[in-house]
Amino acid sequence: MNALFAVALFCVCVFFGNGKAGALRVRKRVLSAMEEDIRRLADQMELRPAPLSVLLTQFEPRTEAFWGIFRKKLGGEASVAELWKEAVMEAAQARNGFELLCAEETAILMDFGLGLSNVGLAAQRANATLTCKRLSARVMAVEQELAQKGKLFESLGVLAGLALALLVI
Amino acid sequence: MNEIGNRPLNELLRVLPARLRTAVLQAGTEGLEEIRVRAGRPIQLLYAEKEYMLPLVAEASFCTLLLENLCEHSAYAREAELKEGFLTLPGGCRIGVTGRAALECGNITHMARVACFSLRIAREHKGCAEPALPMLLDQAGRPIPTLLLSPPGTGKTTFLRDVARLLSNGGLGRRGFKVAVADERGELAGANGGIPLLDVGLRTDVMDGCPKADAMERMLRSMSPEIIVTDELGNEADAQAVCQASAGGVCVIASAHAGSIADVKRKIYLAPLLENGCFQQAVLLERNGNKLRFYAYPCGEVAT
Repeated sequence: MNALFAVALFCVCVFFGNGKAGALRVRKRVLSAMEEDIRRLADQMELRPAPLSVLLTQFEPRTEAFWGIFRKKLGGEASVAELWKEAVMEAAQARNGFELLCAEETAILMDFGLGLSNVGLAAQRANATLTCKRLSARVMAVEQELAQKGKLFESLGVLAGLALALLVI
Repeated sequence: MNEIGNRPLNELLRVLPARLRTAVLQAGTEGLEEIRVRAGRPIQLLYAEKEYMLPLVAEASFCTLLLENLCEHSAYAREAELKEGFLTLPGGCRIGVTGRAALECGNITHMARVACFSLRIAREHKGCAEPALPMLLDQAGRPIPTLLLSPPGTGKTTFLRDVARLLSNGGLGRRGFKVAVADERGELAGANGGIPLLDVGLRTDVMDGCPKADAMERMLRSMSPEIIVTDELGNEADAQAVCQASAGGVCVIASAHAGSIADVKRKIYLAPLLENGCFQQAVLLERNGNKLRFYAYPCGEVAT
């Protein structure tokens, strides 16, 4: 019975350690996917100045979960910045990886939404470029964090699991 | 007899913010011609014979929301139109905009802030040009090149649309003509994606979204029209395009802003068109409430 409990404890600790490292990987993936999607959206805007509702049906974003929510909201009453903000919040609630973003990363996305109401392609391009730069910096920061802490979390999980298992036995 | 289409109004109501839509519907849409929105002031509804101030003040944020709604949340996509000071909705409603312009080297690059809107409801008033049709055809049933004149808001575009429809469809012993509509602002045909949403006739080709001088030239070359219909001649290039079309044997029926024949004579680019035979007559449009009156002036008379 004790052996079984020890194995269970070990598994839980390893799972927890891997989970923490995995969360960092998901966060990095979401940030880089959003960076790419925003860059592609800006390209689409320049290629054919069609409304957002049309553009969003014509490119396949990497973060479809988020863009799908935003696309549905576009028929709504509020300003585009409000609709974008709601979409970011809903995506976080839907646990699509957006819930793992830190406050600074969420603020970068919100700022992009504010710029969407700007008149003019040049303003849109500048908004997208700035957002991509900021996201890119965050991706690098998360990469560093992953390199430093990813292995640590996994090792800690294994070690803590082993320690607890030995204690139980 | 007169059939007023609701499509342009419905298209406009669809994109209005809920507060304004509700207020407009409560005030009534029968005979509604224009909605004026000015930042910091009450919203004004203009009907054919009256006006009404809504108990609704347009704050700056409301103006921003209205612009976003009119642009389908994509103001960047309407940059070129906004720069020219107007937007056209599917269905032909024209939205005039003013506010703070951004300049670069003395030229307007874009509208930095839009604070005033003139939302004009396009009206499909079928049959409104029928009483004037005898003025527009000679005894052999051929169309007479005509310049239609009236001040803004008199119904020139509605009238011109019906002229295009009547001449294109023919009927009552009249043959139908091949009509080409040069619709720079998309008001005449209310085209969406190149397809006219308003009735401009069976034999009518429409080119919209391009300067009317270019549209006339292209259609003259490629569509072999018998009649070219265009709205609001406004500069020398438009006048030259009319001359080209006229010299090519095509009848041009166009409109221009002018309150009287004297006004036309003061417009440097318009006056020669009446003297050199491009237009054989000027028709002055006057409106009293819902009633339209037409006065034809043969060009010989105008030139003197």
